[in-house]
Amino acid sequence: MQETLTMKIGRIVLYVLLLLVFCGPFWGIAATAFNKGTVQPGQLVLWPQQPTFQHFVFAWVNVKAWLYLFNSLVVVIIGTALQTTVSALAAYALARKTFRGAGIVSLAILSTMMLPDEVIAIPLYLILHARLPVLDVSLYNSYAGMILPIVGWAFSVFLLTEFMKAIPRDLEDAARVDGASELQIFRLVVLPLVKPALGTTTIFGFLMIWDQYLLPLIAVDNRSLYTIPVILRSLRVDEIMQQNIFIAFTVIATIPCIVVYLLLQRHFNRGLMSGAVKG
Amino acid sequence: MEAIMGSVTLNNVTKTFGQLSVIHDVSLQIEEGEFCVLVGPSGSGKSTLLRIIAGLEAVSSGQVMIGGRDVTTLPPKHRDIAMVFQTYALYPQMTVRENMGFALKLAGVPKPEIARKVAETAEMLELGALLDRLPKELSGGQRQRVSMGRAIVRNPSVFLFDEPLSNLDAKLRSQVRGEIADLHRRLSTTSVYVTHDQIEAMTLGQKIVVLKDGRVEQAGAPLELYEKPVNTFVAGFLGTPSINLLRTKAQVSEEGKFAVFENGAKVRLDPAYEVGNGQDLVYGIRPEHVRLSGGAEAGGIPARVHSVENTGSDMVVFSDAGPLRITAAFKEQRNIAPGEAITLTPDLAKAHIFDAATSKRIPALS
Repeated sequence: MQETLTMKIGRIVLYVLLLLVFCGPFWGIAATAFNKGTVQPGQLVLWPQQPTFQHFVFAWVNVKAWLYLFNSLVVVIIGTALQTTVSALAAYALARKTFRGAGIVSLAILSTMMLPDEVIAIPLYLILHARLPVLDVSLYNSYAGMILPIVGWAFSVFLLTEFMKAIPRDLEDAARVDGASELQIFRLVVLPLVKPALGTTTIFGFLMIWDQYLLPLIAVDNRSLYTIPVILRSLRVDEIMQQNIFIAFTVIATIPCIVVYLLLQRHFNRGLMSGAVKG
Repeated sequence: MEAIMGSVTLNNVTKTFGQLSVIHDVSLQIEEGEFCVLVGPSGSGKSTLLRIIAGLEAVSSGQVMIGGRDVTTLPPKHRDIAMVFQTYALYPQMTVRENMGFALKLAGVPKPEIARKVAETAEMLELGALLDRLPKELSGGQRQRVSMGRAIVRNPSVFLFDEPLSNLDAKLRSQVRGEIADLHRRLSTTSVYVTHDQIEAMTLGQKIVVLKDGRVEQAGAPLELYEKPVNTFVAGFLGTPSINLLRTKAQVSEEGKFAVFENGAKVRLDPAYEVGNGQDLVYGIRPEHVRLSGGAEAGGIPARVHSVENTGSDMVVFSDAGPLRITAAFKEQRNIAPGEAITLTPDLAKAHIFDAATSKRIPALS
């Protein structure tokens, strides 16, 4: 169909509106963060007056944004790596190995998806505060306390299981005949074939861990171990915190997510697509 | 390329999946350098038997030996075998070169040697130009050649082929079949080949093992099976068009021994057959051993032409003789039309006589 001038203008207007809806808040935050003058809580500026970096510097040095960013990165990097590894191994077992109770294990993992975080908050609190048997250590106030509970994630286990089920068994048999051990089959044959799904689960896992609020809140009491979401909440209710500095802080906090998304964008889109049609 | 050869011996192998028994007490000897074809209909256990030899399935009882070594409990990698799969099973993320060198890499062979062996095998299979391509960039025939290359490059004691041609079109199938036969001539490596296609079995096999419901029905040289099938199943399975298996009764009199068909027609039997008067028999005659003449003829079976198939080189005539359906095949062209009355005369010396009760061949006394 030939596009008329009116349709073309309508299309452009629509795009501009959409752009405003999605990018407007980001622009407002960024402009406020660079604005020299103080703004009231809940107020954003549209154009920074006397643009300055001073709020960023203050947030970075005095409010110690670097520390909370570091904490968040430690939790998210180790957490995502462990989560992806555990999910891939669990998925391979569920997709390929026949063992007694496989159905129950599958159901148990699935059931964790049905429970909202708030429901497990109290049991989790008790476990984190208890001293672990044998090791006689407590996970409370430690990175491990924020990481270990999110290492097993049903969503990524099931997504990877479905992908692995689609791999022809002949490939694994061929590798077995070629002399590969079970671990080599997993590493050299199966994993490369589920790369798009691994990309997807890595990004979703990263975002899921980055956004964790309740878990670090339960697991950590020591302010020097706070992650970004927890400290943001704490700063939000801090009455002496200037609004511009708080907003500069939030800008810093969004950078890692943007970087990860841009780096893995290709995988992200492909993973979503291939998830849809499974193949 | 020098090959190390190995014989394959199966001793009383059985395999059960839960309550289901799929291989029943199979014993088999495949000599060094022999090309053995396992053939049978779907569900006959031929692929399971191959996977047992490969070590991909464990036996429930019995013994598997390769090159005189008991490998029953050994994993595939310690059996010195290579396998070509029906689906090719090429690793999609690896190039042809990496696919072919994968087993050697796992075995810790130095890189220059892997490169040399892969190049040598690629040249043999005319895959040189494709070495840097991914499997998805290859045609079906090329994939199958890479799959064979991957097996050859390892120089194993035994090649195992699991219906390697069934995903190819008819023309390519015949070409690759020729290539496999040629490779076996050059390498003389013991080969076990699974197929449900009796033409592949007859053309490739030095030994054919016919399987049915997990049991060996007959094992032997292709012509031996064709000319002396031990039962009606083997007789019916080998040969295209299929052998005519006609129910008949034996008549023994002073005039000789005869087969009397359900439509009343009577043909002479070789007196050497040990049959009793009135015994129920199955009279087997291959279509190419039926002579056809127009009109009535003594000692023949009167019939009416039902349909005619003409491939140019062969002519197959299907005819009805009362309740009997008889197929006759000729090399020469004849002018025969459906509805025409004919007489079919089986070649006395080529007939196969089976006991109707047991389906087993009745031996002829020599």
